[in-house]
Amino acid sequence: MLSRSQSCLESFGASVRGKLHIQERRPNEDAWMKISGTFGTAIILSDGMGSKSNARMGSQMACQAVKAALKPWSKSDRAPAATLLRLVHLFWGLRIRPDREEDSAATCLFAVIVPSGELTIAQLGDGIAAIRNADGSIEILQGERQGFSNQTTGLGVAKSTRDWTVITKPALPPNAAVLLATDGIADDLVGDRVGDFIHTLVTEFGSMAPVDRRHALHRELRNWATPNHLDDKTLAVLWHKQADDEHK
Amino acid sequence: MSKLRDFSIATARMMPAIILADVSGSMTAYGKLAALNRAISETIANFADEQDVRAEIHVAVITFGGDGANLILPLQPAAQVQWTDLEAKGPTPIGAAFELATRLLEDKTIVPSRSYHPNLILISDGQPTDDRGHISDNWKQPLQELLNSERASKALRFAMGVGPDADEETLKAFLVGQHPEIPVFRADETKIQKFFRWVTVTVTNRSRSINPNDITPIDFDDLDDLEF
Repeated sequence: MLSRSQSCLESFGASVRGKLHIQERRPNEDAWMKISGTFGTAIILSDGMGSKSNARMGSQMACQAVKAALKPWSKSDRAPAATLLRLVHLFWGLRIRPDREEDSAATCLFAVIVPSGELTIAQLGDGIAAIRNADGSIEILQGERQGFSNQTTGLGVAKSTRDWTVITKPALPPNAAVLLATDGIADDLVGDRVGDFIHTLVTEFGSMAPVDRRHALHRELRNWATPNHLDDKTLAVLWHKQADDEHK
Repeated sequence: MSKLRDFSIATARMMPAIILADVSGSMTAYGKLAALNRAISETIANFADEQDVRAEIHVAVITFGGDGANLILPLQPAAQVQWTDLEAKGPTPIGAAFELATRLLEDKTIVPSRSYHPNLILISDGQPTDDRGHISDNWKQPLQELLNSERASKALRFAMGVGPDADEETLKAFLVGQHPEIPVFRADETKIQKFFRWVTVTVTNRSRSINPNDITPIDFDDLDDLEF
């Protein structure tokens, strides 16, 4: 049975193949997952690096690796986030075998809320991981990139857990939300509208029936307004829906 | 009716191509300047023809000559460029051009972080000088700053020496540290256009690429087999 803090958590996500992969008859090389269990509730997404031959498998296994890592990590009392990240690297390395890690390179972003309510968000590589607080303020895990687009690290590239960006909070308060998105979305977001973007996702799409939401989001992402958008596009949202008895 | 349209940027991601052109007085000899003007004009037109690709090619031109280095064509989409032929006079203050290129590429308001790695294209026919026309190595420090900078250092660099007096040391130093290695292209006035064809094919291939940041210049010897 889910704890009270878990029962108020909602999540969804969507992923579409980019125009370039459609033209080239290549698969979607992004992957995402939402999961919940005894370890808590999590959203995960990954972007297989475009030039790598095993990118699709790399991104799918990144999601699987986080899922696998969360179980033993959550059972260990107060294990640090760095331990979780080491487990992610280990499980990912096992799962992409016998392919080479460098051919399967993929970004990895996830947000997990454990049964105590503590929130951990982690990001390795391009994309965006952001929290919209209930008051509308925004926290973005990685600041503006210093270099240029598609200049990234990831599983199969990073040699240390220090390459990750991690944030931990005691809780995700009511009406706060976490967004994860791959760079096909992140690089095209208007900088000062990320909060509104998250709010719209939660309020407009969060209330839809799952099938309707999936169709609506796929339509939005396929018709992305930025000209020449060719990348695969994937997002996932996790938010704390305020229960009636949480109102003051 | 889209609910998310208002949150995405309404312009394509750019791939900058910045030309550093020598307009010192010696460029007027043997028709070099006329050939350079033709080649730049054609290159910009070819970039502009690249429609519906992953990256929109933007062009800027920095000249270095009589009165120092000048951004004579601010960075803009190739399709919008109204090209005006360059004029040449005076010495070869190449260091000032390196400084200007670094400033331009480091400015995120001009080259946003969502842009793809830029291209830097250097053309020179002489030895570097200071502003007064004296042979000088005052280009070394600005070049080192460019090569060590956070963003300008990520550019794919091309260099062409025009004529026998072009300074090999400067041009080689401009290309140092790239992988794969890109050689200095040596040309007389008849081969300037060929250099720009090579640059055009490489840049446009990048703009169509799955990952435009993959730096894969085409083999120069294969150029005659390519059409664009």
